[in-house]
Amino acid sequence: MKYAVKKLVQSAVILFFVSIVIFLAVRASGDPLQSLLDPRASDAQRAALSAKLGLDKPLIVQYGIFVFDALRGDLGNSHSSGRPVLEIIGEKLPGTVVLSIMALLIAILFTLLLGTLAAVKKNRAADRIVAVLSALGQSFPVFFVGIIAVQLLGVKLRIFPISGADTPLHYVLPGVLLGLCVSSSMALVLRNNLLAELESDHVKFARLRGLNERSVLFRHALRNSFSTVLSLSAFIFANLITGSIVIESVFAWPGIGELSYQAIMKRDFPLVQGIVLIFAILIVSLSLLTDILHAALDPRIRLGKEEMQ
Amino acid sequence: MTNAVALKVKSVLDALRHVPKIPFAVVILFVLNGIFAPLITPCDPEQTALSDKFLPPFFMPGGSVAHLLGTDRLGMDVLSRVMYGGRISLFIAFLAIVAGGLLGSLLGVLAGYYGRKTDKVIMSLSDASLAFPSILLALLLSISIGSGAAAAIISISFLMWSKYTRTIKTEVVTLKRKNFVTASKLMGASDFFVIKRHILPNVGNVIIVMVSIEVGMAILSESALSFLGLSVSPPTPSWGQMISDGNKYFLKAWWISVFPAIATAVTVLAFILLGEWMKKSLGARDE
Repeated sequence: MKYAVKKLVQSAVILFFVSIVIFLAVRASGDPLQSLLDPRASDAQRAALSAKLGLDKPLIVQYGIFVFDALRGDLGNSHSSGRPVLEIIGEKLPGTVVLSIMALLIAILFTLLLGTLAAVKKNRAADRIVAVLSALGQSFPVFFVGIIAVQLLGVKLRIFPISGADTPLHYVLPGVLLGLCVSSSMALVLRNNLLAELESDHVKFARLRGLNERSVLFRHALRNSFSTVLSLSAFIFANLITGSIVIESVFAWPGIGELSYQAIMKRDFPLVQGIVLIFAILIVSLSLLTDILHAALDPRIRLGKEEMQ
Repeated sequence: MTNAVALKVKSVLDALRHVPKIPFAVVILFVLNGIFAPLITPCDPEQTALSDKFLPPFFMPGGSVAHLLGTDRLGMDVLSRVMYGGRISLFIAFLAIVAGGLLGSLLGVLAGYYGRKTDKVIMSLSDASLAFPSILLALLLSISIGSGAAAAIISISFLMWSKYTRTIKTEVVTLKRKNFVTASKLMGASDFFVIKRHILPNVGNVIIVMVSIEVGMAILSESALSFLGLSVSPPTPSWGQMISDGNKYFLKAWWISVFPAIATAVTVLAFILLGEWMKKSLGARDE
């Protein structure tokens, strides 16, 4: 419980920093009056609009208003369509969430399979192959792999549809690619953790007790090492969001990633700001959730940190 | 003094004897190409020639030696653009790493050396940056300073700094407990002196290893940003943007996107492999 509160406070601090970055970045865009007003406008008109938008107030008050509005769910209106930003994001959010969940499940599956295989067959062919695959996965731009997949499997062979999210078949390519993109960094972490775990005393003891290798591996070693992979949660979710922006723009996926690509192209400032805020909140709350879950499963996390300090 | 320098040079040469040759060669080639691209590219990378558009590479029917890797939809030479794109990648990755690495290492040293409150503040900042992927910062910067090389450099260095901070901090915390540091402090040395004389030289290796791994990541991030239109803008060539450009014509003219993709992958892979090797060899020498 104490751990959960501590993590909650940490997340609040993180969101506070994030809100400052977003606020400052938008304010640094120069004089917003310039784009809104006629260049021939008089000083009185300038002052009037400035007062109306609250730009005449001190920066700290402006920041307060920004946070207050954001907390009420008011992120302003999109420049290009005039609709509230939150409404537009709300429409696209489910697409991204479904895709991300799918990709995460695929990533976990891949990580478990490849990481375990590599650790068990240490320094043998299978380990090498996993290492090569992971290095290739980390060095090829994921959007290029996406383009190849779209062109070969979609356009040429017509096995998979190439854009949109209408049928289950639409989910296959983007889901698998995003999953691969996330797991390429996780698999090696699992392998190395698992190797260390297999050398550890409690695993040796389990073997001495005469447990067969399979149950040693799955019930003792793998459980502990997978939980260390979970501790990378913030990193994993950040990876997932970055990947989804790129993958969605390749597959014209109706989600926030694709929306943000459109927003950049149209220079739709309030929309970009809203998307960044929503993504940051998503990452922070998801990693908060994983951390708490992780601590609930693994007492070393709850207790160990206190002792170390 | 000269003796010490000679020893240092010798140890570097010794280490280089076992360097993985192909990745090392690729990295050298990448750097040389980046520096000398304007002198060695066969064509002007921004020269359009509509009569020559979609020319295939020289080994395909209809290709010519004038455009070894073919031309794109505006008749620009793909080879020259790949070479110039490499120059942009090198430039952005280099500056991003210098900025991110310096800031991150400095904060890491401060957090590790002073501990307590300084440590807490710096570490919570670094946690916060993890929750804020560089792509989001690039999105924000595209609003404020506009997308371009500067925005890409800032976002990528923002991605980098917290890794340096974490790693360097751990190193410094162990160093601080070593006897020579305590002794130096007991003799009345100032914090600045201790950091300069005893801490920094000992974290140098760690920083070098991190840099060589991170260069690959920086190049990959730059290509993702330019793919999304968040880095340098056309006609300035960059790898990600060339891949995105070739997407629409893939079946008709695959070479527009395949060559920059291969260039990206080979370069990134070379840096990763070289980094892994450095990690092993420098790490082993420390022990």
